Amino acid sequence: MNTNETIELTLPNQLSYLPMAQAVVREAARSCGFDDAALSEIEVAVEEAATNVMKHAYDVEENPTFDIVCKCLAEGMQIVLREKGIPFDPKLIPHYKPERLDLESSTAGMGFHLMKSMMDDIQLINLGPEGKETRMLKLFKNAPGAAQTSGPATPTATEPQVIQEKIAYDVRLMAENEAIEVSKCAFKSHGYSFFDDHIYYPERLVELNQNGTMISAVAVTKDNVFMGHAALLYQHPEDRIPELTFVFVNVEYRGQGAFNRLNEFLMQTPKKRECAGIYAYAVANHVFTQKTLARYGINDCGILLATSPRTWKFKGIPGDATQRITVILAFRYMDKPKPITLYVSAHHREMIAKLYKNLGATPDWGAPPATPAPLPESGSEILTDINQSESCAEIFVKRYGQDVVREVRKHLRCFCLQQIACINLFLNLEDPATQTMTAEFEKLGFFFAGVLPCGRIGDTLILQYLNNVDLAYEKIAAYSDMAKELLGYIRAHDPNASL
Amino acid sequence: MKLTCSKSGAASVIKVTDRLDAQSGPDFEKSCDRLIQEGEKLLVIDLESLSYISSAGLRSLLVLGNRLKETGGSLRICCLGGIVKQVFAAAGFTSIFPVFDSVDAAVK
Repeated sequence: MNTNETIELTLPNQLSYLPMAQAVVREAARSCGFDDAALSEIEVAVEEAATNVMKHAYDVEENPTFDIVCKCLAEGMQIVLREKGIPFDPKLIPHYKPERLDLESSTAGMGFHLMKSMMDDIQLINLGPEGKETRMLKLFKNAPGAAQTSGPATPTATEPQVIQEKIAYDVRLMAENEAIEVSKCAFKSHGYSFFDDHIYYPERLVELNQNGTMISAVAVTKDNVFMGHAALLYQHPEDRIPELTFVFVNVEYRGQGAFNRLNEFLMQTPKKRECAGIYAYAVANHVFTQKTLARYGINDCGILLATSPRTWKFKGIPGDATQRITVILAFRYMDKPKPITLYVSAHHREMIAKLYKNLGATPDWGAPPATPAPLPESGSEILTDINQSESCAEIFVKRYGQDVVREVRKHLRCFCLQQIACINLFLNLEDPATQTMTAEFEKLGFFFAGVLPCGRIGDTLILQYLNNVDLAYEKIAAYSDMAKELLGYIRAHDPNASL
Repeated sequence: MKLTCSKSGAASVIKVTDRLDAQSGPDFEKSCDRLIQEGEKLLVIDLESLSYISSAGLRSLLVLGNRLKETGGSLRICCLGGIVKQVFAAAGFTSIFPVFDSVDAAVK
């Protein structure tokens, strides 16, 4: 191999392929210029790294692959193992102590210790939803390096069985050292399909909980075995309402009522920030989450079409995966809704009133003026968020100005040119201008999606725009009567539906 | 992996050839376990012809050592060389098993 040349191999995650992996890496290293002694050292390191992946990264019933990349460098060779297996925190790897070894000692960590002994540098890199990399460097000299990690926890050989008898357990706030268990549990139940990738970075979970942006609740057995997790997450600094999200329980502990207790705990636990209500998104390619939210009084108030890619997968839950994923937006007030006057366009008034009634609120409706007031000459204040991986964007009209339609159209065009599939527009229902401006935005191609009380910019009307998305309404699963009615309403107003 | 068994006095000498790794480790354990069940108390593992060992191979030896200890027996290692010696040393296994330079020295 010449310097900077790369060999890449993709292998099934089965031990029987280990000799092939070692043979390829050995020959790559030989052609890179290593002598026999170094080749043997590299071979040991590759076996340790590859068996680590094969035994611990995936459950046995999965049939994944992993990649090995060998790159010849001027100073040696880099070997990278890349996989999309279960999240892993290298800090928790036991420290193997060869100097204190006896027959009774645990050998946890020995594999990684040997990797460090045989190679000059080892790095374990967390790529979030893109998985993990084990990067090994061998230099053109004989001194082995010393990376510091050990073998991880006992591998799961079979799919865990649901525990039938009722067990005693606690629900409390997450401790720092439990963040890795949260990430692992998220992967086991959802793979890497969570839209928000914070959940796959244990260090981020700790930081978000420390600063009050996230409130993580965990369920643990009396022996401190991790059972499940749920969280409230404030998406923006100015948010008054958090999102109920990252709710999952390990398979063996389902049926213990942990979902209920986790959600009840989150509802009752004191928050550092204002919590006027709680909202949640339930995917509409199955109804399980929708049913769960309804049990906690988190009721439907919107349907956002095609917000996530069709390639997102949900472990163990059957559902349609042939089109982009639609979500049902649901909300619950934490206290009795305060009196509020909302300014809604006449043509949506009836549906919006139904949605608020579904949430247990009866706002006052601002009467449309005989002559709409002119918009301020000062420029509009518009906020935007974009999620490239989901191909979804949001536009918030925080303050109307005379240029608002042009500005929204400019943002819309920009997102469309970036091939963003869906763009959601959030309008403040507490602003009288929304009453007349709704129709102007609908002329741009936006159509009704729903409402969200106490939103980022106030009580919010949500409009949506689909950028050449192929969508079959009959594949969207709506559970509640409100959701079914709303879906029909949205379809009737979707300019694409009649095409 | 290939195993060749012979007797030398009270010791059973097991010559291991080729590789002791994640794939061959279980077979090695099974074969040696049979000897323990037949009542062998002193096993000498001759690694002169072993070209490669990994943590899986080391763990097999550790399991074997513990099983022998339970029956009042012991495990000795001999003829370490090359990468096998290097891995043994890195993992600290030279301190838990008696290591000899030759089969003759190990069976005494």
